[in-house]
Amino acid sequence: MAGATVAVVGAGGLGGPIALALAEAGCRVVVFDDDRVELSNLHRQVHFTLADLGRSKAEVVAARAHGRALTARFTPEVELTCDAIVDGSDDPPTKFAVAAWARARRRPYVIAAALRYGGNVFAAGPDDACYACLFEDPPTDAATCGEAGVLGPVVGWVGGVAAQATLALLGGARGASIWVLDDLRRGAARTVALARRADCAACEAR
Amino acid sequence: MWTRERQRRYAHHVLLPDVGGRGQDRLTAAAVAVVVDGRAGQLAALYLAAAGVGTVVLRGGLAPCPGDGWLAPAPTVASAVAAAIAARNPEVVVAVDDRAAPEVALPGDRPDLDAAAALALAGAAAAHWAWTTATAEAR
Repeated sequence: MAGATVAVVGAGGLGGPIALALAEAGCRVVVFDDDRVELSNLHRQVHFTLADLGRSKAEVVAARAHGRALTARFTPEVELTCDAIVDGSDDPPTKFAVAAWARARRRPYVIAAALRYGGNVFAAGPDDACYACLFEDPPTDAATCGEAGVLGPVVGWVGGVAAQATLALLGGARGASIWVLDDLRRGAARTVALARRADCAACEAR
Repeated sequence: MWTRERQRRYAHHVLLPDVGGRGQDRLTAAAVAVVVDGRAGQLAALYLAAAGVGTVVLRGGLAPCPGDGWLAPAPTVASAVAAAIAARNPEVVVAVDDRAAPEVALPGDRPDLDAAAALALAGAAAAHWAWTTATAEAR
């Protein structure tokens, strides 16, 4: 896994520490984010300082992770070479776009989400059950951290599990799984192995 | 005092039904001790300071800090963590080795723990500590 290139979508509370942890494990990272650092980010985005306020999140994270910054939202048309892709965005349509892109290009992928006091991490190889097997379509009424809040350190917990899942996929692990992180008292994640959904339109389209 | 800056910085905590402004005030009134020899301890200290715990006590961390993605180079790891907290949340009081402060539990933290595992451990432990402290009277 050292020397692998990983695309990280989002450089905030999840994507930032995921990129730094993967870089520390020897990966090259390509970081997407079109956002800039704000004061309301600092209660959870510990990879930024007050001196970073107003700067591009992708550029700050790429500099600290010795990687490459793309100061744009992820779109399926992007020219990108990578061995795996991780989503740490706060946007359900982006998560579905990252999952579809990864399956079309046969790359392993991880989709991480955090809200309020917990989160979840989906991980799969290209031939496994897919993100749409589990979640079908992007929700139309999903709350974001900006609307519902998030306890700051929760993003470190979810981001760490996502980085571990990414390293496992790069090491050859296969089989779709979701880690459900909903028990702050024990700090433990429940892991559920996932099978393909027979009527998944995303799987049929491939 | 709830200045405009404090409202902005902790906006995502105030939105949480079990935390709110009173829970944030409980965090500000609290002190926590963290052993910062290992990566998880260093990250837990950063997460607890970012979350607004009023006093963060650093224990250990006497080895030199060569600098990395999270910490700048410094004579000791503890001084690097202290500088990182000051650069992020200067209202947090950083103390060294105060025996009275309760310690956050970081089972299995070692200096050689890989960054991904350390991040998960630090986030889970800091989240549990912050949640317990912020909701102490509400529960």
